[in-house]
Amino acid sequence: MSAMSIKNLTKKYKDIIAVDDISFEIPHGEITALLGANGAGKSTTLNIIAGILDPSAGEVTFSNMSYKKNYKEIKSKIGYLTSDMSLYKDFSIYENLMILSELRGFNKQYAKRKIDELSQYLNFKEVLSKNFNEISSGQKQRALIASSILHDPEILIFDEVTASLDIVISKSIMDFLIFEKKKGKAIIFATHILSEVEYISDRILMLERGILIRDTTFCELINESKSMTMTETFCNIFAGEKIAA
Amino acid sequence: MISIRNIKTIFKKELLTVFKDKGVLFTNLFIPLFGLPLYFFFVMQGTNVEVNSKTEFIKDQKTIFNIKLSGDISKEMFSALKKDPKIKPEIVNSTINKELINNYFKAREQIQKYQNDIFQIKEALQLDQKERKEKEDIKKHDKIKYKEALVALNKKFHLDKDAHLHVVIKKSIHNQYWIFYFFHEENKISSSAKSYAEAFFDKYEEKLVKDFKKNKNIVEYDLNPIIQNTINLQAQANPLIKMLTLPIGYIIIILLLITIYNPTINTTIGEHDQNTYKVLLMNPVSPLEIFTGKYLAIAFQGIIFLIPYGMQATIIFTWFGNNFDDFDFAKLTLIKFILILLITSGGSILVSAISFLACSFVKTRLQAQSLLSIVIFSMAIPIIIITIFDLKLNLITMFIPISNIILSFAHILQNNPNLLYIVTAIMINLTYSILIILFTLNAFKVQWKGGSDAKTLSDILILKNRKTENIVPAHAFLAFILAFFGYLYASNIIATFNLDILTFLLTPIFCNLGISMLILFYSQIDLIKVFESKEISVFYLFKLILSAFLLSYMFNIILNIPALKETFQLEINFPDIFENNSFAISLSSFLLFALIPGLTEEILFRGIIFKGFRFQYNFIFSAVTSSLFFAIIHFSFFSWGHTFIIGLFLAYLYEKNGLISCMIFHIAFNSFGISFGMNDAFMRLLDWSPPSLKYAIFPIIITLSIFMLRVKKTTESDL
Repeated sequence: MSAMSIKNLTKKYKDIIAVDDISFEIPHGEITALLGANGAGKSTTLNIIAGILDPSAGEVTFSNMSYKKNYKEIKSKIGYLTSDMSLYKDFSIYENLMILSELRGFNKQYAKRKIDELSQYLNFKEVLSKNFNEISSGQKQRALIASSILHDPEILIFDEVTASLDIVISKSIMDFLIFEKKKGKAIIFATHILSEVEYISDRILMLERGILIRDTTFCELINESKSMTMTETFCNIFAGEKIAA
Repeated sequence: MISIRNIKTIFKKELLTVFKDKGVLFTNLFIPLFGLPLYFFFVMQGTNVEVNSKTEFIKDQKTIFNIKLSGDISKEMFSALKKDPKIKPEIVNSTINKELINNYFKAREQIQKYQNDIFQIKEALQLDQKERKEKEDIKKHDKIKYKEALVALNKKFHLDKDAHLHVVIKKSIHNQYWIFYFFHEENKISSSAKSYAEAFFDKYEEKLVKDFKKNKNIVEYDLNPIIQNTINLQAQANPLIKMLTLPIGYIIIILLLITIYNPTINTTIGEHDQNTYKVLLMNPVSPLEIFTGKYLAIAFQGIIFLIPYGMQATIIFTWFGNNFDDFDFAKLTLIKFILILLITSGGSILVSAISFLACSFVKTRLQAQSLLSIVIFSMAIPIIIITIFDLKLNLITMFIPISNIILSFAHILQNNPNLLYIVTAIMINLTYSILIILFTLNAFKVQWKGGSDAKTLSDILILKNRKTENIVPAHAFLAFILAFFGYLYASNIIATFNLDILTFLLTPIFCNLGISMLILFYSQIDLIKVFESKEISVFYLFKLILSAFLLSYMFNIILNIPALKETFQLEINFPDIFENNSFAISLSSFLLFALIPGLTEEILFRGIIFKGFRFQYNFIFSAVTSSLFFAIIHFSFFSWGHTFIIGLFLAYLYEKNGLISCMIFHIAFNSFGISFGMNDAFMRLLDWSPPSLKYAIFPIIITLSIFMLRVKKTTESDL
């Protein structure tokens, strides 16, 4: 059963169509990768799925619940993270996580236990008392991941979270995603790094100028293409689309 | 469902952020601690000179006319005093100078003589009028005669500058206070001096007795009409008050905005700049909760930071207050202190709302800072206009946001603060805040959640999406703001220049029709959408007029309550050509007060404003808001209630039957209103109503009217 279904999603900014009539589903226990060139509409799509943006048309449903009617219910089942997100700089990581758990409706003791657990699990316990802009980007990212999974979400929406991180930290995050997938969570993530796609994705969605051009798996793509490298394969697909358009 | 818990969390977070931001703390604490005392010190230095020069002037007068009380009051004096309606002596056991008594009698004689003269001149003028009607040739001659008479009258009696009044208060053995007044220099007595004396007693009798009790001695007042302004605070703004009002008010606005300026930017645009808004939005918290929490936090921190300002201001006034003769700064009562806190709180709530509105227009921190700076300076414009053009502290100023905060402070500085003014101003500010917040919420949603429909004020003002096809709340709000300033301007013209007929004719045309057309043209709306209405049968027309009559009757009964009657009397100076021509007066009244307002106000208030709100909100909200605007624009404190009710009724009519019925009802209602005011037959009708039933018939008439004018829903079988 799919965790989330997206139907005829469209987003317009004045005259520009950022996302054009996309429909797909995000199933449980699978990692879906969203690929596309810059400005293809990946982030917009993920923002709309996460309920940060309102779509111009179409709807996002989560087991028969829609944002219009069950805004809070859906929000409490989604974990969302982007590379440009940031915690409050005036507060320490611990205070930040406490505020967020308060908004999630946790009581103080549970929140403390949860933060303790997560900081151990994601290995940033030593910086809990520091302010957000005093720590390294790897630690920042791990703290942000903690903030997005505080409430054990059923769906994880990650938007280029590894963009500015080194390979070791990126791999640890990827491993974390695989671990979460095995728990039966639905995961959708956008990225530019093809090795990550190869490493963890079960399914690939390709976007080009707001239109969903492919819905395949990694193996299918490799079989289909004649070139030897991943990069060439993707470039060929996007170039082909551009010529066709 | 709005979760209070979420709002509380956001509120707590925002408040903590404010107190953790050292820059905000510095600006919010430094200015009240050091800047404000420094500022007040200079203000006091400046104003002291002014006050001293005034008191010297008064002292000079006293040296000439200082009279001490000595000798017994004679029986003659007593009987003379008895004749005076202002003085009610009993047994007298006080002493007074004989010379004074003589002066007093002479003064009385003069006044009587003067009154006789006036009577004679009036009679002569009346005769002149009759002659003028008979023979037009003599008209010019008469006019000259009339002018000559006036000049003679002025020459003889217009000697205000040198007529003086001496007031003595004494306590009798029976603990009754009485007040004597004497004119000096008997040759120089004018009627204005007498009427001034009477007005003075009417107003200050209590105060005089109070002063007397306090000093436990004989109190003497030497009053000269020239310095009337210094004492008669309520009649005209004192130059000192005016001088204080402008800079203090201006400083208060800037301080208010500074305490709210940075936190508002941090909490709105700042979240976008730092990319923290997504962290908030990914939680199960609705934008409404986020907005409410943020707004409450900003308003609350504004109040917290303003308390030291209020306290310092009061302490400084207490400290320097003794320098002012006419003000009771030194008497800092608990009520005054509470009022200062209330005013600052109301100001903080309003200014926060305005800051949020300004921040919802823009996308970057720099834009927000520049826009808020413009807002700071534009806020002071109304108060500068009021001060420069010497407009009275009248009820109209209650309706001007921000200015009413400053004028409330001016009221507090006076001896007898006008509580009604202050409390109403606070209530009006709260109303404005709620309205502004409602619109900001919409813009906030667009800013934070990227909506694309042009439903917000910001969308309209930044000229986004001009083609909206529908009248939206933003149009309605814009129309109201434009009309508000139009009416404000017109009412000030009426008050200043007395261009009655012209302004009554032009105001509705420019303010209602002009603004409606501007909005319609600007948003490119089809005219048919505004004028949409159902067909009206002859019977329905009859019912409309009947209900208009009943409602008008009902309100005229209220308006005939003596206390309110004066407020409603139309004070229009019709031009000479209308004189005694009842038909011309009736016709022009019908045009000015029924036909033109009926047509134009309906287009603006129902066609644009009500319909604009109805596009997005439910009937009750739209009807209440449009009626509130309708009532505000009438600028009359006492007719607020009835314009509001009529507004609601008309909204109901528009919803059911469209614009044409509203126009007919409005014209009929106003026509009956004029008839009740002008026509004898109608006036007699008002006397018929049994007094005990007066209030009982209101609900009956309203229900009856609604019942009469309801429209059956068209069912499928009808079609």
